[in-house]
Formats: sequence, structure tokens, C-alpha cells
Amino acid sequence: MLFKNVLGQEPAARIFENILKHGRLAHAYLFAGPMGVGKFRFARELAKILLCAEQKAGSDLRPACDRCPSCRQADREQHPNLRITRLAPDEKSIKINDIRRIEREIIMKPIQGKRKIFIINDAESIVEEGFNALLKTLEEPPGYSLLILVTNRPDAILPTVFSRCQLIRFSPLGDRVLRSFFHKELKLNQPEAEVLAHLAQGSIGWGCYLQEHDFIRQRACLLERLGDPGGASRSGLAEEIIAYAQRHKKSLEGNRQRVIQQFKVLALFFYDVLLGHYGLDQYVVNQDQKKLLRKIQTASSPGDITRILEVLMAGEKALKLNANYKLVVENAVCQMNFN
Amino acid sequence: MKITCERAQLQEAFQIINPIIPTRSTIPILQNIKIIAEKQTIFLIGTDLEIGLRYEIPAEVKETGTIILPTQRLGAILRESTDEKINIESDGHIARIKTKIGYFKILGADPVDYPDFPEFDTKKAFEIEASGLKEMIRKTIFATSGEITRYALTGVLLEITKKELRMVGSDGKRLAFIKKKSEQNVPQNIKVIAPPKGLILLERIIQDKDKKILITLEETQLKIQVPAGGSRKHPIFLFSGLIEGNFPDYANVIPSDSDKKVEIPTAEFAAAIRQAALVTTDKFKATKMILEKNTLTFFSRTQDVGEAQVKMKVSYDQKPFEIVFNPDFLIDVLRVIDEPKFTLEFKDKTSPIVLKIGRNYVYLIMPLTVDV
Repeated sequence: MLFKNVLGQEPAARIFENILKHGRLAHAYLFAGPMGVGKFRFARELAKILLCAEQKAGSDLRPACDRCPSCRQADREQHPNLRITRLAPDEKSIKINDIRRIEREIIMKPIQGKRKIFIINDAESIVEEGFNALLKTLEEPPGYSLLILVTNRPDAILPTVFSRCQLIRFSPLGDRVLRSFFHKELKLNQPEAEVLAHLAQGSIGWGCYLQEHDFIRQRACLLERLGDPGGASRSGLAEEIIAYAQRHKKSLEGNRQRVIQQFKVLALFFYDVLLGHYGLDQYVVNQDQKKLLRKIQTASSPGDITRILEVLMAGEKALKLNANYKLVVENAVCQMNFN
Repeated sequence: MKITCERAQLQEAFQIINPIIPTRSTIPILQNIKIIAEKQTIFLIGTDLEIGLRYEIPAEVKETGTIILPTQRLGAILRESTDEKINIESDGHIARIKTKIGYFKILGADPVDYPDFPEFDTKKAFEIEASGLKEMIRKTIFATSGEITRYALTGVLLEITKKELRMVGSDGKRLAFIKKKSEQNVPQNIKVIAPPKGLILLERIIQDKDKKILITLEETQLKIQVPAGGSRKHPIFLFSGLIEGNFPDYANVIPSDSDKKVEIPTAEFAAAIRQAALVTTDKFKATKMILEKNTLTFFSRTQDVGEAQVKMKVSYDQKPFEIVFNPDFLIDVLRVIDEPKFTLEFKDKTSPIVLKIGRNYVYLIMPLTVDV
């Protein structure tokens, strides 16, 4: 396992193990795949392996030792032969000057070691002139250089740049990887980790992002409202959804996305109810909510649940089409009745 | 680490190192200065990875050690203080600096993160005459290109053979070539492209009192030691990265069949061309040089600006001849020429103008094809 510090992404790891074994490293790669699946981490790990001081000339590459000064510098992004460019937090694009700096640095021979590695994260946000400036470098790069562009929107890469890089695709991570990561790193309990894994769409980054926005606590609130007896709770549920959306309206995706996320939590829950109806308990995700699941299961018929799922899906679709989110939420919650 | 040293010396070292240290870098640790205390000496190190410099000053070292400190702050403390001596103590990554009236606690960085600084191996080094090298740098560096698209041309070509040193700077439109006789013990001919930054720094460091400097050349870097001597008590060591790429074959560009020759007095010529260039603009930089019997005339004309005609006497009795060129290219070279006379050689309107000083300096300018 050359890439021991990277979660999942076995296909990419296998590709690079082969490339490195045969000494066929290209001069430029494009790492493309959804956000938060470890593309950048993979690129940095690759750099670390190539720069590690423990590598012996002539023999096969070994995993990064994580101990030598080189590895430690690489981990802290302080390595002299590893230059990382990324979108600054308050900027909208990677500017031409950043690319020019890379061009200037790439022609200087490496000072320690044999390689100079340049990683451009968020490569989709390079300005057009920047891409054009990169072309020259990509056409005749110095032999010691390696350039890795990392992006979640390969379509936004200038085609002429795209065609000069070798494309490595990164896929969403498996639920198992996500579950264990959320359990270990975010200290979530098993069912919560499972729910987050389901909602994270294969992306650790997205999962962490949700968690940062109190998502697991919000799920608990939603399910508690759902379990409340009587009609009053239903309006409470709608209020809860809208309040959360408004609390986080400045976040990445805006109100509608916040509502969609909550609909997904509810849909996942109702889907579990449906599984219960058919006796498929082993597939249930919301294991920590057994009591509530059973309660709603006894109060509803499979037909009810199917209808609710349809309502939630229709709501999601409407939100994506820019419907008024408050109306959508109220409408959906009104139709969430089952007796 | 526990040291006491003279503030003036420390500040002098700072003034030399400070310009190298980047104020903003993708590798933040480079914004710091590294201080190493060994017996009776402290080493100050700064680098931007393209060039680096190590400066030594004497100090009273009570405890050896290494510390990485933010350059700007340390520099400001040195500047503001008027003390003769200054005390620096370190405790982990924290430095405590004591002056007469002040006490500062400055947070430093982890030395592990600081890139390795190369060592100078005196055994492998060869000697070069300091003033000669300084002149070579000055006479070639101005001709290099600022455009990074032709990256080999952003640097100066350095050729070292057993008997000669050669340096070439060019931006594609002009070329400056200088050679010097100098015997050095090199196993084979060396050819590298050095970026201007390091050479400019070296030119600045070399003082009139310096006699020799030591150089080693490796695959990826040029290392230079300016030895102690004169008022300098300790050697300065600097390294410069090298530019990857192929420098164009300059020998083929220098024409050998120029048939028109004229000897020129430097000062008069410089004054004349500067006057002729007065009416040129950034958008239209062109001056015509007309050679007739014993007269040289510069003529410039720019639309919406005006005309200039400047004459000077020269001894010339060949066929009349005229050529158009960018006057800045001549003004640039005249700034670095100390000799009272040089020769100009021409072939035809489309061949380069060749400026020669003896056999050792050649400067070429490609003519323009426009007319004025």
C-alpha cells in the first residue's frame, strides 16, 4: 500500500502504484472528481512519497515514512520543492500572477532532491489568461517537474489545458469508508455516522461540512418533532425546517439547499419505516430511532409512506426549480399525515 | 541559544540579508531569518529558495543553538534600538531579546520546517578575480529578458573553461557577450544559466577591496563564497539556483563579416544618442543612424511629437550607410561601458549592429525594419 494515508480511492492508488513502479510518471495530471473525496490529499501524498528522504535510489518507491524532515515539511506544506497554490479564502479566482509565479519557480532547478512538484487546488477557478499562461509550461515542462491540477469541475478547465494533462478520475467514497471516518474522526455514534454517510454523497468534505453546521443535532430535532403527538407538532416541524434554513442561509448553498438536506433526512427516515413494513429491518439506517420507527410504522400503512416519500421528492424537485421554500416546506409537512 | 553581539554588526548583516527574504511566500517559513549560534560566531541565513545567503558575525556565545525568527520584527527591534550590544536568548521556539531599555519576547518557528541550507565545499571551489567578475556581471545582466515565456533568456549564460570565463546575456533582440582570461581548475567545460537575482546580489556584495571569490558549480546550483578580507572579518556565502533550459547558440549570432567599421568616443556618442532619443516614445522607439564621410548623424521622428537630428564627428571614409534601431538598446550599454572608446561594425541594414571593446566584449543589436 503505497498510499497508506489516503482513504478509499483504491483505483487511483492502483494506477499510481503501477505508474511509479514502471517509472512512467507524466509531467502533468488532472485530478478530477466530486468535492471532498480526497483528491488534494492524494496529490499531496503523491508528492510526499516522491520527495520522501527515505526513498532509496534504484529500488521501488516505498510509502512515505512520515518521519523524515521532508515528509514533515510536506505535511505542513512547507517543503521547498512542493509548491501549493489554492484559492485564497476571500478570492473568487486564481489570478494570473499566481500562475506567473509558478512559471517562474518551475524553471529554477530543484534545490534539494530531484523533483519539484506543483499542486494547483481549485484549478477550475484559474482565470482564462492563467490557463493560457499555463499552456506554455505544460508544453515543455522541465524534466524534474510535476504539475497536478485538482478540480471538482473538470468541465471548467480550458480544453487545451485539459488535453495536455493525464486525467485521473476520483470517485465518491464508499459508505463504509465514510462511516468509519465519521465515527472515528467526528466522534459520532454508529447510527449518526451511518446517517451522515448516507447524506454525504460519498464525500468526506461534504459530510464534515454538514456536521460543522450542526446537522446531526438538527436531525435529532426534526425526528423529535416528527414523533410529537397531535396536530400542533406538524406546524412545529415546518417551523423547525425553515428556522434551520434561515440560520444557515449564508452557508455555501443557501436556503433551498438547507431545506433539501432536511428533506433528505426525513426521506431517509420514512424509507426506513417502509423497510420496517416489509420486514427488512437489517437495512435500516436510523438504528438509533427504533422506537420512533415502530411508532410511525404502526400508525401508517405502506401506501402512506410511499405517498410521503413522493411528496418529499416533489418538494426537492420544486426547490431545485427555485420555488418559494417556505411554501414548499409547509405544503410538504401538511401532506405528511397518515391516519 | 544564548548570545550577545554588537547591534551595529547585526544590523549590517540584516541589511544585506533582508532584501532576499520574501515578504510574502507560499511557504511562510521563508519569511523568517535563521540564526545559528556556534562557538564565537553566529550565522544569519535567509533564502527565497531561488537565492540564499549566509552571513557570519562574531558574537559572545554562551549557549549554542538555532532559532527561526520573523525578519520584519527583528529588523525593527534592531533599527529602533541605539544600544551597542544586544542580547538574544532562546527557549524552544521563543526568543527573548534584551536591550538597555527593552525586553522582547518573539515567537519563532520550528527549525525543522526551514529548508536545508547548502554547505560550501572549499576543496571543490575554484577562484575568480572579484573585480573582473563584477565587471562581467555588470556588462551582461542588463541585456537579459524580463519575459518568462522564453525562460532560458531570463538568465545569464555562464561558461567556464580551463582558461576562460564567458558570460552572455540576451533578450532575443540584443546580446551582450564578455570573456575574460582566467585560469581555473575545472575538470571540464561548464555551461549553466544563472538567474539575474543572484548575480545582482553578488555584484552588490563584492567590494573594491575584495580580491578573489570562490565558486563551486553543481548541477542545480551555483555556490559562491566571498572570503574574508579588508574590513570583512568573515566570509559571506551565497547560493543561487540555476535555470533549466537551452541557451541559444550565441556564437552563431555574432557576425564575423561586418565590413564597415567606425571608432567611437564613448562620452560624446552617449550624449548624442540620448538627445536623439528625446523625441521617441514608448510606442515608437526608433532612431536612424546615418554614417557619411567623417560624420555620424542620429535622426528620430515621431508622429505628434517631433523630430531630432544630432551630428557628431567620427573618422569614417567607407561607403555611406544608414540603419534604424531602438536607441534604448544603445543607451543601456553605454551606461556600463567605462572605456573611453569602442568600435561599431555594420554589414547591411538587416544585419546586427556590433559594438566591440577590444576582443573581449561584444554587444549586438538587431536593427528595426521600419523607417524614420
